[in-house]
Amino acid sequence: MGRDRAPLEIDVPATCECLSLVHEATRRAALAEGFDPSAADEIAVAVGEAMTNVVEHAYRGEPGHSVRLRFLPGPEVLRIELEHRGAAPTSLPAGVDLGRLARERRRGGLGVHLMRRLMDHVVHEESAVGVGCWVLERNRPGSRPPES
Amino acid sequence: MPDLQVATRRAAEVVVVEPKGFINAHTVAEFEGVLNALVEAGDVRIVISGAHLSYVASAGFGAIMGLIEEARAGGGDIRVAALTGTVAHIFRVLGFDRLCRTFETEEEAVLSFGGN
Repeated sequence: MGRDRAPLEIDVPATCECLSLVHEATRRAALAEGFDPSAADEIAVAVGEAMTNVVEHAYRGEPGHSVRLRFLPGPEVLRIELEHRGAAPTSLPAGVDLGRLARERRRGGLGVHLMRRLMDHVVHEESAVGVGCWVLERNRPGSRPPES
Repeated sequence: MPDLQVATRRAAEVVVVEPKGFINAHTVAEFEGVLNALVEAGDVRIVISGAHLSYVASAGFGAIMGLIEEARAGGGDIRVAALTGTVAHIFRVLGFDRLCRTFETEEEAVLSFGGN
């Protein structure tokens, strides 16, 4: 996939079983776009978090749904969209207090935080027709030094 | 080969948990089940060796987060060793290095329990 190629779009069943498929497809797409292996791994983990959010929260684990995954290479950023028809997140936490979550024996609440830490831009967009979409962007190498 | 295999072994009074593969929302039940069983059995001195992990998603870190205070309340701890690459990077960016003691090697992590 080069910078002048058309977007790649695939439909994936919205199940946790498909997480490894989405991870690998994303990692390969990021590598093909010129990201180094570490950055490609980080992008793949972030997209996996968005996919997990759709499966577990938008569709609440119900079977029979799908996610449309789009890779949109631009000159400055790689944009990845995960479109779904499930429930929108009620809020996106600005950050997490790990100590508090641990004291409360919580096991969740890290996914959005992790997406934001690994990507340069993360939002959830909603259209008027009940379609939700996670949008994740990572600047291309040289556009901005990756966070360490 | 399965997506995740979780082996355990004892080193003195410490249990070393060695997951191989990747931990995400699909595979986390296997990892979490092992940790739960250890804590419930009172084996609360736990070292997780990350040497053979290709990646860990938030579900895997959540499993540690949900049990670490339980282990500490029982007089133990969950410590992490031998993280590499993306796993080590994600551990840091999530802030887990402030929640959980980490060591370069499994041996150092096991020995750290000698003085708690």
